[in-house]
Amino acid sequence: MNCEKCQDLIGDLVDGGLSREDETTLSLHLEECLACADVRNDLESIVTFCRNHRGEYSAPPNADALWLRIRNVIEAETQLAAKVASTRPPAKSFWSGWMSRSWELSMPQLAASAAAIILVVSLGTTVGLRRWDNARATEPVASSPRSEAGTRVHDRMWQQQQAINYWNQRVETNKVRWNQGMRDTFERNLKVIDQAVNDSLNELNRDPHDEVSEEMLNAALNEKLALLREFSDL
Amino acid sequence: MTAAETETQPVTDYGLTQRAAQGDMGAFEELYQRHNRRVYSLCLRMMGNVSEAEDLAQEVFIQLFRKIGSFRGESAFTTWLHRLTVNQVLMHFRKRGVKMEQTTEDGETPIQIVKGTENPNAMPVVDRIALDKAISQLPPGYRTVFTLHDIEGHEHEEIARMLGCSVGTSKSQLHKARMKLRGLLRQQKVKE
Ligand SMILES: [Zn+2]
Repeated sequence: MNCEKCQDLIGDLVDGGLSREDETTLSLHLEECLACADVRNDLESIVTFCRNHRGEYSAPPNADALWLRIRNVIEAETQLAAKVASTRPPAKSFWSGWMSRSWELSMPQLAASAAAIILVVSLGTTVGLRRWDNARATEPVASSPRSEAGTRVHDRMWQQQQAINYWNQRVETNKVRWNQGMRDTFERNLKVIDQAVNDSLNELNRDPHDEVSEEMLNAALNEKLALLREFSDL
Repeated sequence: MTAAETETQPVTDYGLTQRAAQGDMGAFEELYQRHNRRVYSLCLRMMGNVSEAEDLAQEVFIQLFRKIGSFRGESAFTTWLHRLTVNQVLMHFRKRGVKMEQTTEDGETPIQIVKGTENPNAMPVVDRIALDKAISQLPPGYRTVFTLHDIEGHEHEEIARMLGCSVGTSKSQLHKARMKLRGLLRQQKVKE
């Protein structure tokens, strides 16, 4: 047996998981190889120390301060939850509204387009906005008389996107508690809204000055925000 | 049961969790007092850093409060809390993109196979301070496996399940971790 093989097996020896045969060969090597015997002794004393001191714990530097921090967070959360519960209309009536919701967001001509890309929830929107942003940025300023208005619209949408990201995160945290019905309702509504967002974005990529698509996009993003906000509390 | 008898019988962890689930902060504080050392120590060893360990212990107890109603008392509370803590630390590593499996490509020096009598300085007697210091210097992947196996006493099968790796990987990571730790303990002695 060489030292490399021996040291590979020392771990098993220390943990008592070695076959009798391996143990015999290993013992022979350890008797004549000081270096490997040293490794065995060292690992054994590390492992033995850990085993003997299992269940000994060190206290946090300031356990009382840590408790106060924990209690503050919990109390703030509890208060917020109570506030939401008292201001929110009964859950059933509001989300049954989402269940039977019919949408007028989609642009028929675009909905029919096979090329419409369905992107993932918030990522899709972010990517879309960036692409639209680039399309605007490459335009010569002179030929873009409405560029100021465009920037304003874009800023507003940027803010909407930030809000969507925030509520989206909260929805993701709470989703695990939902039942299948809620999940389906949420996904169905989200799909329709995201389709509308993507359709408007595609249209805006083609013509950055299309005011109708701009309005469509704004409406869809607001709907998305409302959906996320309401579902984040469930 | 008389009042005196009630006093001598401490409320079980399970009893406290049920009261805490009803919003009893006093019961939750008692759980904190009973278990904060255990949670903090595990966080400290896995994180290797006091302030991060405190932040994580805080997060563990907040998560505990949120989930406390789902503890059914089927397993020991300590086991359940231990699992919650490990999950929280692993999630933290994942968020930071920390790789659990340490390879030599990660800039980690491969373990030296010790041959002959080339390393005459013996490892000092292991003590708590030296060991904790050496553990904190291990890369996160090694630190995790070493803590879970040698400190906490988990089997490789459990560790493999927790980390989502093979039993073989858990074993080889542990071996590398121990060898690295041995080197660190020897270095500490040289520096002294
Ligand atoms: Zn040898």
